[in-house]
Amino acid sequence: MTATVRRDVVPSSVLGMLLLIGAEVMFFAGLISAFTIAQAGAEAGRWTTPTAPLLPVASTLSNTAALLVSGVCVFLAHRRIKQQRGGAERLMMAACVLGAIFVVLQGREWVALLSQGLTMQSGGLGAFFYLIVGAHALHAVVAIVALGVAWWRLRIGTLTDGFLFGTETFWYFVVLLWPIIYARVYF
Amino acid sequence: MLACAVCGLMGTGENGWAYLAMSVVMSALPLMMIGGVSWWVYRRANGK
Repeated sequence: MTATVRRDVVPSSVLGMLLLIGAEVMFFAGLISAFTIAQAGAEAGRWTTPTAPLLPVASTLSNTAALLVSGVCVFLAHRRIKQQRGGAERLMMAACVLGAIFVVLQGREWVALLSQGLTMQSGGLGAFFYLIVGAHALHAVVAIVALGVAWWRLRIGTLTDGFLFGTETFWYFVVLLWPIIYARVYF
Repeated sequence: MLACAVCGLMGTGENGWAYLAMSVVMSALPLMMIGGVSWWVYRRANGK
């Protein structure tokens, strides 16, 4: 009698994360699709903020840069962990801090927009803006907490490959989704 | 009565291109994701 050795082609943690990311991609695709159709059907001059024709494109560029650099930090941290080189902890912490900066700057932008009269009830742009950007910010907060846990586990030497994969995949999703939202919603 | 909430936003009809473009995106995106994951799993299973 021969024993059959089973090999996991895809670990369960990886498959679970891929399914989650797939569902999240469709969720945001649905929101962006609805935004695009509503924007295209809006009457001339109705798709603006109460005080300006465009959302704050220039100031949001710094948020975008912080988020993209944070994604690079996670990528470099992963490489250092795999190569068993030092410095991964600092890179992981830098990714957390940059992610937090992104969320804080977004919050500051929201406060400014609310004070200018852009609310969820003020029109289609406001409703979609807070829904899409808010949903993304919520995902960013969850991912930052996961990155923080990954950093802590790296520090105490209990970080597993599965946890690292799940955390960094979710963070890449948050990072790569943002430029699409930025390009579609802010312009 | 429209089943889809977004269909109520159809407006002047100038957004027909948006309906078409987003229909293509929403149809192709899941197929591309399933195809991509299947290809990746196939490569892993064959040790490539």
